[in-house]
Amino acid sequence: MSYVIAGWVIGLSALGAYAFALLARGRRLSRLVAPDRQRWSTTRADTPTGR
Amino acid sequence: MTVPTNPSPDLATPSATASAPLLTSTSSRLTQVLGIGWAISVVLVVCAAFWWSEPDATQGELVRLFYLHVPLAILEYVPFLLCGIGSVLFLWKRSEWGDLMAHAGAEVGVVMCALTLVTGAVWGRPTWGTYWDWSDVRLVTTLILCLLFVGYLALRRVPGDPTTRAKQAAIVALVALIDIPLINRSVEWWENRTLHQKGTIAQGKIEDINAFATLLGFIMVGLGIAFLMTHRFRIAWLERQVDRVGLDDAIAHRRAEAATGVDASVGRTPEEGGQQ
Repeated sequence: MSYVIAGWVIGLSALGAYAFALLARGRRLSRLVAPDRQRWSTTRADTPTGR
Repeated sequence: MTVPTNPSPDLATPSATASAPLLTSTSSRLTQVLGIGWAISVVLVVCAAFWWSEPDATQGELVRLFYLHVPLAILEYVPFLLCGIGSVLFLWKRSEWGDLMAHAGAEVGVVMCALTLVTGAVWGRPTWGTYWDWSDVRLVTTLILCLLFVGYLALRRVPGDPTTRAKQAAIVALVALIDIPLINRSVEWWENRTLHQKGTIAQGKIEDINAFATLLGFIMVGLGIAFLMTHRFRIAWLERQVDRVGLDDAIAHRRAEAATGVDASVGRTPEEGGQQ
C-alpha cells in the first residue's frame, strides 16, 4: 500500500506544483503586457458593445 | 525570452493593472471552471481509489494506483497530438496560434509523460520486482518520447530567428510523434519483449466500481490537461507579446538614435564632418 500512496503523492504533488508554477508565471508576465493584448481577460464591462 | 527594461506605452503599468486584478493573470472564467472541476475530480478519484473501489483479484491493492497511471499513460498523447496539429498549422499556414499551441502542448505533454513513467515505475517495483526494465519496449519508447520532447523544448530556447526556430521545432515535433503509434502498439508488435499486459480497458476487463474509478481518473486527467494547456498557451502568447514589445522598443530606440545623428550632422561644416 505504501507504493500506492507514494505514487499518488508524487503524481498529485507534481501536477499541483506545475499548475501553481504556471499560474505564477502567467501572473508575472501579465503585468508586462497591456490588458488589451490579453483577449481572455476581456469582461463585459471592458467591451464597448457590452458583449 | 527578453524582458524589456525600458517600458513602452504598450506595456501594462502598475496603475492600470491594480484596478483590475483579473487582468494580471492568465485566468478567465473558462480556466476557473476547469480548475474547480479539476479539483473536485481529484477529490472524487482519491475517494474512489482508496475507499470506494475493491482490491483487484490479480493486482490486489496496487490496482488503486492504476486509476492515476492508466489515464496519464493514455491521455499524455493528447498534448503531444495538439503539439503536432499546431506544428502542421505552423508549417502549412505559418499560423502563430499553431506555433504557440505546439509549444504549450510539448511542455504539458512532457510533464504528463514524466509522471506516467514515474507512477509506472512505482507500480512496477512491487509488481515486477523492478522500477525499470530496459528490455521492455513500451517503457523505452515512452522514455524516448519524453526525451524527444525535452529536446524540442530545449530547441525552442535556442537564441536566433524565431521563425526559423519555430520551423525547426515543428519538424522535430512531427518526427517525435512517430513514436506514439510505436508505444501504443508495442505490446502487440513486441509481445515477448514487454512486461506490460495488452489493453485491459479495450478488452473490457474492468467492471463495476473499478470501471467507475477508472472513468473518474480519465475525467480528472482530462480536465487537468485542459486547464494546464489553456494556461500554458496564454503564457506562450504573453511571452510573444513581451518579445514583440521589446523588439518594437529596440527599433524605435535605434531610429531615434539615427535621427539624432542626422540632426547633429546638420549645420556642420565639411571640415567638421570630416574630422569625425
